[in-house]
Amino acid sequence: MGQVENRMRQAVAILRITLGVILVYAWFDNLQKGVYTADGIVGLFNYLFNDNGGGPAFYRAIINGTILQVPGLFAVFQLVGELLLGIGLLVGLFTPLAAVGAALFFFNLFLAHFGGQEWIWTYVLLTVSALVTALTQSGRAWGLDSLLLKRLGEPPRGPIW
Amino acid sequence: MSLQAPLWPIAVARAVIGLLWLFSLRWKLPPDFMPAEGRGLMDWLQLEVAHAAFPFYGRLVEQLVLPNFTLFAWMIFLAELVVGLSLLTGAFTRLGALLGMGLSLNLGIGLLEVPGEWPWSYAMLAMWHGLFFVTGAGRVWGLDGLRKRNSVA
Repeated sequence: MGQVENRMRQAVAILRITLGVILVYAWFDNLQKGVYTADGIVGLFNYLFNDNGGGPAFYRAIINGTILQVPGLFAVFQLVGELLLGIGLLVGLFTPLAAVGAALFFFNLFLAHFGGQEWIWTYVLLTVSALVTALTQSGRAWGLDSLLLKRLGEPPRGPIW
Repeated sequence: MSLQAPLWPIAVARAVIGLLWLFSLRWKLPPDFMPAEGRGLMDWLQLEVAHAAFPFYGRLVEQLVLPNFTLFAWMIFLAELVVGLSLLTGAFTRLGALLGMGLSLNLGIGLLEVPGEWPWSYAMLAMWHGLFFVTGAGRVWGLDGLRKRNSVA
């Protein structure tokens, strides 16, 4: 069974690296388009809610009451957060943490696009991929988490690598 | 290095992707392979011709698939139904995964340049089927596992 599990973890590692590439690529793209600014964030949600027609009512209310009250602050959070998640997944460092963060991010995108014109299963695929990456601790195959495991052993306070 | 990794998350992903295929049948239901509203299979095939990333593929759809639409529509419908049921139940998973990978790659190639489509979706979908094939994902929480246990007993 061990060999099967290792092969599975390596297979998920390919998925992890792909998720990392997607996030880093999207980060550069968003940076060039000016998404990580107050105006960029407002414009993004304006597109999602009005032009694309997505987002259930409760989700729109949450976004209007939180993120859109402080779009500049959220833009900085998104700029740093999205890059860290992408790099974490790409190199397999603190993979369970990065992957859970990515899953929340993708689930947020799922809600934002729900009921809109895009194929919603894209966001289901992304969320499920990130969750499986976290649960299988896939950074232990072809990732820096394997080095942490060799040097420090199992993490003492929860599966963070 | 620890090799202990849970296999059940792969089984959950398998079932979710099985549902994905079954839900996707909604807009290609026989006899006309059209939904009540929105685009149907014929519309998508025409988009593949109009925005073909590979001229050969566009010509193939235009000259072979569209003139024999009903035959190909049934083939696509049945193939997606088989993949969906195989992945959802974990029965003959490797076969279903192989067929699903072919369908995903076909979708990716056909829709690569269609406006509004995101090629990563199909790349990831193909990757997942590769993962199900490599790991024999039906052996956990699937009928393949049940069959194997019964044959051993």
